[in-house]
Amino acid sequence: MTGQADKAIKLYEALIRDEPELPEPRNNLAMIYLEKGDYDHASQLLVSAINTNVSYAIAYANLSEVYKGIASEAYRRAISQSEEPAKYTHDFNLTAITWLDNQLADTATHIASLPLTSAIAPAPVAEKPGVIEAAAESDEAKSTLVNAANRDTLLIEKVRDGAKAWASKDFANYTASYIVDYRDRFSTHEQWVNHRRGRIMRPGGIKVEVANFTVKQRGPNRVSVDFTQAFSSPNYSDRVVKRLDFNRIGSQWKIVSERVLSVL
Amino acid sequence: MKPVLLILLLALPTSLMAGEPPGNRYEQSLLETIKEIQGQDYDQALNSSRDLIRKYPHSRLGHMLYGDLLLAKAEPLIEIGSGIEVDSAMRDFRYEIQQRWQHDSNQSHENQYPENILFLAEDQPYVILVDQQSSRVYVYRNQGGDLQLETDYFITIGLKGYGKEKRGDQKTPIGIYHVTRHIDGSELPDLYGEGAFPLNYPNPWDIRKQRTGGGIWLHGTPSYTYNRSPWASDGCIVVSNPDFLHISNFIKPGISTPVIIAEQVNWISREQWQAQRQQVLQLLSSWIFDWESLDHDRYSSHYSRTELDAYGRNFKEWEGHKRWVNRNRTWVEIEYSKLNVFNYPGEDNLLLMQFEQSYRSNNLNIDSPKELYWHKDPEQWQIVYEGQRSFPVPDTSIVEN
Repeated sequence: MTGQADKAIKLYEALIRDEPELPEPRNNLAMIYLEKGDYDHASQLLVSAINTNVSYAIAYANLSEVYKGIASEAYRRAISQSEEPAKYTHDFNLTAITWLDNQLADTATHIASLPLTSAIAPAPVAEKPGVIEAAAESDEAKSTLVNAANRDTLLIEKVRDGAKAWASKDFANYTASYIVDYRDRFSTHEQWVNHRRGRIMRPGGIKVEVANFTVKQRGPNRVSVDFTQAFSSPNYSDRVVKRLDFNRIGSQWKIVSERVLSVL
Repeated sequence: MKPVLLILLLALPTSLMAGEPPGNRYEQSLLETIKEIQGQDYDQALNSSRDLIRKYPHSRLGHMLYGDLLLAKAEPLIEIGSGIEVDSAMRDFRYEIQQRWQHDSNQSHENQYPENILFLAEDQPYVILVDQQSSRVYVYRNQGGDLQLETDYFITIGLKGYGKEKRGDQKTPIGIYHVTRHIDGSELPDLYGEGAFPLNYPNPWDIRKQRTGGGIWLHGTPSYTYNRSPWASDGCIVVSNPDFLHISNFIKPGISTPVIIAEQVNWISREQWQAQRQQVLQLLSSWIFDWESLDHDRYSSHYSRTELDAYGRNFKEWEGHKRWVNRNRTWVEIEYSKLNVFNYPGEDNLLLMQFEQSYRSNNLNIDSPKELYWHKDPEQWQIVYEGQRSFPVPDTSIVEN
């Protein structure tokens, strides 16, 4: 087995020397190191594979496996009760992951929601004998709060995505945040679309930054999100407080109205 | 260069100069990382988690967060710790984060008084106050009779929570205790870390309530972890090893450091605290006044007919005894000093008074350390227990650590 692996390593190393612009040999060699638990080598090779061809999707997927591998080592350490827990097999002081963070932060990071504020943190007391009755009721309240927190996170994410679509002139994604017949102060949806298209697709780089979110329930299926928005383009910039009203339509939240509350 | 450094040092808050508990600095780094996760600054959070485990290699939560942030690069992470496959461990970690988070965001202890501590004698420089629901122990300094919060620490209590009743129930007691001695960590197994302070559980009130068990200690942490989960011990109170060394500065074995173990501390305003102190002094004075009057009915009205245990006597026995010893008294003078008064935790309307009593009369003089338990039932405060103040007793050999 080891002999075979060593042979394969030599083979791929030779191939990388001969064909340095090909991502595949780098990826395959990385897989051998991943199998061995050598996360440092594996991640370095995968990054170099991506560097030869940034659209080589397999390398991204395999990088995820590297992350998962290290994560499971971290979790093992977290629950270890031995006096000298196993060392990490990668060197987290020097590892390639440091510079992967920046490269992949936007493409691969998802943390859907983290219900951890004081009111909604999960309470394990329900599992502890003796206080079961007291906990039963509050657990229900907590799960509602968790749902609300999840919803809030989702809506804030939607506002962020909308701002991103706007800034990157991704018009289809921008309009997708609104209800299908949204028309703002115009008399038809088409008029609004044409107006916005003219504005958004105007040449020149723009920046849209959104922050300071406040989410409020306004009705059973209606929620408003207030936030500050900083807009800048080559010839115009402003900062305003904005309110977006979302309605739940089926399983989707869509913008039904948009207002500027104040100019900063 | 030097003058700048000096100015920086002077600008440090005094609490830092006095030495903040190491565990609180650890807690701050931990909470910072979690705040970064909540702020969706995942790159910064990943760096912070890495710094955390570099600095605290035994931080289990640090490793968990590091795992979470790496896993988040591979797949959506729904909640902190969701990559941990052992449910009980995940629950414990989340509970610990919640407890630390709540302590950090709830500052009600900062400018209020704990209802449990009303008077502290001048020979009691510090008092230890445990809030089991908040996984926290507070140290108060006796500032000429006033209470000053000295510091606080994260703690672990019994696996099954609080309200110890029986030997082996894995619960931490609720009550008022003192430390009987100090045992250095070198004399103990790894489980106790830097050392231990045994407590005098069961105390007279526990015995009255027929509570069993023993070997309830305050001790350090085994070497495999920085700290243990909020509910994990067999009934002992556990702090991290750096914190154990820190809190040792405030604990003196013997009766001079009361250890009050509450289920939950009730925080009251200074005005409410002062009002309760007034009531307590009135209660104590009226008892002494009626005793000195030698009017047996007035004196005995302070004692509960149904619940009394006075030096082992019930009300009827106590009354007969008192009538007998007072038959030749022409005058009596009572004075007290070194007064401790506590609202007893885990009981409705129970006061514990401890003081040095000086008894003078025409034919007998006695000085004795006394303990009185007063119960309000239904509207009058009455003595339900009177006895010699308990001194350190050797701890039992069976340890519920």
